Amino acid sequence: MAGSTSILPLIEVLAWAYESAGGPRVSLQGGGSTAGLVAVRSKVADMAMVSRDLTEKEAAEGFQAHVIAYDVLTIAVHPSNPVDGLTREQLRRLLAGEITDWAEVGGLPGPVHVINREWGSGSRDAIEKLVGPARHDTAVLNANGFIRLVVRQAPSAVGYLSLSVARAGEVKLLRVDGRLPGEPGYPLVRPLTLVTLGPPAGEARAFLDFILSPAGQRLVAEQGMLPVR
Amino acid sequence: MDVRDRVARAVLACMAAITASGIFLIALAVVLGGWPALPDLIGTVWRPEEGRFGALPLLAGSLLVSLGASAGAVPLGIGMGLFLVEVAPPLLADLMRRLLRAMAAVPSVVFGFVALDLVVPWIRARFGGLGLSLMAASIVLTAMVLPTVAAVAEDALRAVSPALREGAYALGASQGQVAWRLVLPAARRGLAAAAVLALGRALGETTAVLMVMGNAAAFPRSPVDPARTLTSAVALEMAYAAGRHRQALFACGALLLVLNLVTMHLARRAAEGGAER
Repeated sequence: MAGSTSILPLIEVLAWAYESAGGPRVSLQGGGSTAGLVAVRSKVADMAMVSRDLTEKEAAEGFQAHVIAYDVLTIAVHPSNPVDGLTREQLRRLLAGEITDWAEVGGLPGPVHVINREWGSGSRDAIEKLVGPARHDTAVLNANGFIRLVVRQAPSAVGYLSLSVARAGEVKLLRVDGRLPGEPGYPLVRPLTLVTLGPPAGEARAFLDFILSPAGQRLVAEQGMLPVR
Repeated sequence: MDVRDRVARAVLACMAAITASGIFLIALAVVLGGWPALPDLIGTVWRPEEGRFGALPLLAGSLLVSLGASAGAVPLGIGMGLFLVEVAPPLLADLMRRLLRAMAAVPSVVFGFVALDLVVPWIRARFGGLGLSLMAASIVLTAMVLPTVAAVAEDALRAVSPALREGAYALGASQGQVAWRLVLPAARRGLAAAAVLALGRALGETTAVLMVMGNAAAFPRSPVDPARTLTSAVALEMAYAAGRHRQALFACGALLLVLNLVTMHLARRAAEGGAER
């Protein structure tokens, strides 16, 4: 399996449980949602981890998405940043580069440094749909974990990353429209899917069934994701 | 001629052919893959999501980082070379050479990782900003390229004819005068080769640069701004690139190949000039 680095930590936990319950080895790789689809298309992987909606072109190719959980996208800043929350509109303007100083949103005066993901990232696609695009000339890092590392170090930085990675700590998560990540009503939620070319079969089907079983969904909740209802 | 000799010669010829064809195949793959998108590279906006593949910001990133690395590694490397040739007692010189070889053996990703923990925070504290920057990449590249420069510089300095030195000492010159006014100028062709080699090596570096440069796809306005190189663009985007984007990345690869061939050629020209002396 290959694809989204947002889904990867969750699948690692699920794969470990699956193997402990007697299932075959699941081998995993990151690379981002679009890269995962490329891997399935070229038969390098059986399933892709995709954290965004499939495009019309991709659906027409025969890709099928199976929702396994709902992910919470957090907005992370340095622990020393006094800003506690943003409205969705403020967030949109921040990402777009219209807000350039933290003082404009209630923080200490200083430049805002937005960190974006690469274009093929499912997280980026979700943020662009839920909030809006980031300005073009920001720093770009290619994984959730990397964003957490830099935001943890840099007081002026702000980035978005999956709750499953942000939970590891050391970054401050902002409220959006007054809600903390994980609270009902938090707006930045998106489906996490496993994608197959055609209907899932064989080992892929078996693993998917395991994930959608009560045992699998319990693990999903433990990881900080929202289970499929 | 003995049959075994003939067979041996044939086997060696095969090996040579395989090796030579390697570089041809790489060049062919890159050029064939990127040919249609080559004209797209002329432009100042790299925005693949909009179908714009102007590679000038990437080229600027590559050149600026590599020149920065050369600016750091060349003086340090030549200084190290001089130290090894003129100053260091043999045991110390030997130890230093071993250290340099060890430094050259450190994997690129380890350099990047260490830089993320040491260099990037320092730049952030000193100059503000994210810390992920041209400067961070230049510093890391200086460290990566230094062993090569020092080794080539030492060879170039050692190659200066002993007769020249003896003559200068006989005329009453001090060691400092001999080193500064005689040995360095005499070795300048080899030292120029070392400098160009450093540039070539720095141009090709990917992993460490990808980790500390911030990968902003735009012209950096200061050394503390993030930027993207040709190499990190390929590494970052190749996994998901399709169609014209993929071709544009191959074209960047072709551009890199040309840059490297040019620097290697210049380095050899410079070095051979030295040998004539």
